[in-house]
Amino acid sequence: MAVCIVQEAMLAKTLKYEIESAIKPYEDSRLHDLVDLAGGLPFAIKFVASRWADHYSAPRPLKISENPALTWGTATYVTPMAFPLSSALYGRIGLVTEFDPAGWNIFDATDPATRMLYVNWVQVQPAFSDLVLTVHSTFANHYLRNKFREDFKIDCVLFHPDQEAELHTDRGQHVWLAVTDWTNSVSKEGIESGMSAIFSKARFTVLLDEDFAMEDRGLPINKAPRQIEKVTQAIANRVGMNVGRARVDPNLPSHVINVFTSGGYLHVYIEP
Amino acid sequence: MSDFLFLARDFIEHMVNPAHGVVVNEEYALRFASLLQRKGFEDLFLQEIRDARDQNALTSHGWLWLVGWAKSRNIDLPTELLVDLFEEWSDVFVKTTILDLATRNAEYRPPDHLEISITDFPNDFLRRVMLSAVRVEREEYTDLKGLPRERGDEIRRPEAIPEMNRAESLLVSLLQVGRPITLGAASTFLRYEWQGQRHMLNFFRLLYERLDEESRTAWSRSIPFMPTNPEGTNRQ
Repeated sequence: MAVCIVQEAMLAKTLKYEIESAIKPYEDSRLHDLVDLAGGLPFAIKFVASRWADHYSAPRPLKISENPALTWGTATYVTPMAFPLSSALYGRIGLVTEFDPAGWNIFDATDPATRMLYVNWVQVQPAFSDLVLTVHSTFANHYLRNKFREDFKIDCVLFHPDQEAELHTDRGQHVWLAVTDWTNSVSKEGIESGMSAIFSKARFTVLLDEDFAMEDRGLPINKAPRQIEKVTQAIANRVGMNVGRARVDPNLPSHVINVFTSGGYLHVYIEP
Repeated sequence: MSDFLFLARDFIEHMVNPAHGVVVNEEYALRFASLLQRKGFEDLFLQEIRDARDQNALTSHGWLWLVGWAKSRNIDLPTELLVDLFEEWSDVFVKTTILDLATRNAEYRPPDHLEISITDFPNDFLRRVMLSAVRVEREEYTDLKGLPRERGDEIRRPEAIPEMNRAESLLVSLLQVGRPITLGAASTFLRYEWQGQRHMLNFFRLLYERLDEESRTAWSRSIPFMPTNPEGTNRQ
């Protein structure tokens, strides 16, 4: 059982004990198993928009996400290396970073029984009635998830993705991480919201040749189809050309016309 | 409003207003975080915020972000500004966030007696928001003693008391933050004799009675001199 010092106020002892018992030290957690699955060294990956490729060409810290729309509150959202393409929905640039999970308290929300403890905790909050009645439920949930993580000094929440990139994300099997940077890392107090000190040396490492839509009719997309790959698979005549060669090839116009007339497509790619 | 905040207002709006979408929000958040890392920028930004007395300096989304950011960086905002922001919003969770920031470093020694009133509560922010929550009623019915008995009873009925939402939100926020000082304030607020007291005691009873037995015990343990009798102040 992880050692937690929880604000005692207003919480039943049994529920407090159940939650504390469910919070595991890293060594006993599913995250440890996932790190083993990917070779034993703790690495994480996060996909971002292409415009950040240059910024992260040298090691830099990841940004802590504080957007209320995100699943588990203010945290750095990453994927363990066991699922390297799982978060491809969010961009073509994969930033890879090492991290040190020693001493982490892990709340595994992929486990239904553990997840239900959070629900039970929410139900006994004084503001529960307001949560179910307010029109500002996104902010309300954001507040409660931050409070829960802060009260129980949770370093990392494991959760299943709630958005999918077709063929890249498996909502039932994949696990994502919401990791807390503490304002006071010794006492684990205060959730930091600037740049992550935990993921401080992320570097552009993966370039993915695909794009996914993030929204569907103005709402966050549930399952994003591949926009490029599945179209190209249906075309018989596929021609590839290195972009450096293409830029200087005097025959490029005729190549393009030939591909067009044959009903094929030309893939101008970046040669590694 | 300063030119600096005028420029920052639009930038922060793109960073935090969900209407711009997660992609835009995250893009601006990363740019803003990069700006904050530049030498002198954070100090300048903080100074402008501390000097801000105008609620229009930022949008509602902007203020909400700023309150959370200030908490994460353990930064004090002026009490005057926090009281104004607390009064501005009706949403309980926004109020709770502000109240949380305002009391996070507050010193408090629980009183050993019941007689403390909200007018004497030993925290400027909490005293002001509690007085504000009962303000309208006091101004509208300044002299109940001068009214005929039946008219006084009518005014004391919950449905005749205006603006109870404000008092209810305050009570929930005090309980939700759950610090000894806010729980002490909740107890003091419930004991304060005003036109809305009976309504508030009933409201508290509803919150309390929806809980399981063990949670009720935890509330009783945590709230000093917890009133349990909705018909009047219970002096345990």
